[in-house]
Amino acid sequence: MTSIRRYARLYRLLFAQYLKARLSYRADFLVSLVFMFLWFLPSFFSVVVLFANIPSLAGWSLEELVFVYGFYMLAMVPNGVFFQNVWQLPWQVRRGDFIKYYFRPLNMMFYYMTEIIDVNSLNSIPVGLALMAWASFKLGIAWTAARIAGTLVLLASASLVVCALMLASASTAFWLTNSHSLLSLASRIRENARYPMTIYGGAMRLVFSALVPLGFIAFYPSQWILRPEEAGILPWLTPVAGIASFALACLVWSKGTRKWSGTGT
Amino acid sequence: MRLRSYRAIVRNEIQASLAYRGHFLFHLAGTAIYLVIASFLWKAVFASSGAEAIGGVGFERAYLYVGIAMSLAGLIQTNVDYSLNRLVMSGDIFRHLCRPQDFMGQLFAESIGDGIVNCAAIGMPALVLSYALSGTSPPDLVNVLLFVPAVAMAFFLNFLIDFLTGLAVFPFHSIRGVTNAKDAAILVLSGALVPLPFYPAGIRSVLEWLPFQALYNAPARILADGGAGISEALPFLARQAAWAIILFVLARVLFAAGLRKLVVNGG
Repeated sequence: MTSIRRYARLYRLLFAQYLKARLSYRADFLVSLVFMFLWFLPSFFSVVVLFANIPSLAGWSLEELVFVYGFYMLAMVPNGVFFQNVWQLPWQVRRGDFIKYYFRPLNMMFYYMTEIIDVNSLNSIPVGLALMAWASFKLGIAWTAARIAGTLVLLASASLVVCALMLASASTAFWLTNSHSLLSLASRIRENARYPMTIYGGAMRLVFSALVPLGFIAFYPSQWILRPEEAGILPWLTPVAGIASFALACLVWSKGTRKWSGTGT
Repeated sequence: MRLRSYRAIVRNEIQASLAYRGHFLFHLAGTAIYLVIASFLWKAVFASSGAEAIGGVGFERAYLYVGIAMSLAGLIQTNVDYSLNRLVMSGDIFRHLCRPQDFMGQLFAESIGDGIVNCAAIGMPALVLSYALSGTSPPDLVNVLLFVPAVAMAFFLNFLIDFLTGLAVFPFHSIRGVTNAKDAAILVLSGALVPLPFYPAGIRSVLEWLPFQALYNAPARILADGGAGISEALPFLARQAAWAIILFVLARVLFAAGLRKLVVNGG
């Protein structure tokens, strides 16, 4: 209990410190705040352009896919805010700077990840919510209390899947020295979570459900909201996928930090 | 003598980027996975449309455009925006400025070194794979010969766009925001994700005059469309050249202006 309180206090202090550091380049902070949410624009725009040519994609309408898209953006937020520092891991490990995280009486992952608390990633929330609201309005989805509660559980689980994917990919740095390409590979593959899983062939769908659980990031959870009658059990495996994959990613991380022997500098 | 000193930079950069070879394997694996996923997506698109061709383009050609664009993305990436950001923020830029070579020339020589390695290790294999997955026959020799200068031009243009983006470091002291905006603009406006023939006619006619389509759309169309040969390729190449001149002048002027603002504390 005391340790939770200690970490909460530390988190508050570290967050204030980080904000101060970020605000030292004020112009960039403001520009990033505006532009950061643009990352979603290209893939969103390509879906809209595609639908100018086709009535539906594998039986899914534009409104439904916009909903999946909004869900995807919200599921990405916790990873963006709390795990942004995974992108630095490849360089830190290669240069040997990572050694400093061994020398504090703190949980290593906590210490490492709190170095960047990326508030800019929060701007996906209004965009994601707006997309979901527009789609629910068009599709006439009634937001009952039960549905909201279920969505929140699914969203939390989906976020865990995203965090796990990025954490595990970054942690391969401890073995590979340079995991940057694997990280960008993961973030590129992640993009495909926005499409109906039904467009992929059987083997591919199995991979995206069990091996790299992309389907649980947006499509399966959204299915429960959009088409509960044909969703089956898969949406409710999202919490299982989330917890299992995150636990596995943590295991990879801790195995890696124990195995890494530094660069000698 | 001057050119030889740039050649030394290119050679150095090639050796540096070959130091971590494992990276190419992952990049290539990533590209292969992307290409397989894209084939599922585009098959679904054409199955959903119920037509053989959309906007006059069938599955094979649409898929080829996307595949070629993907291969080019690995080849023309320069990351010069990040280099410029790092050089200015760390102050290391003074070392480049003290050398007898031109500053932009030095960065371009470094990019060429990377480009040569990326071309052999990522671009070419990805291109072959795209053709294999699309199920079309290999391109005509004429198209290949016209494709090469188009790619060279796309590389130069991408370097200029990245360099211009990197200049944001002078007013903002960091380029994160602007780089994100640039990446988004390129993906949306270049036809890298969805080929331009799929865009509504009104938007398309505007996009065809912007520099972004010169990065992906122009080389992809020259290689994949076939048949038309030189008469179709020339307008694309001419527009690439015009943009190269405009952006080059712009980059020189803005860099000179930024440099006047630069303050580097002793190192």
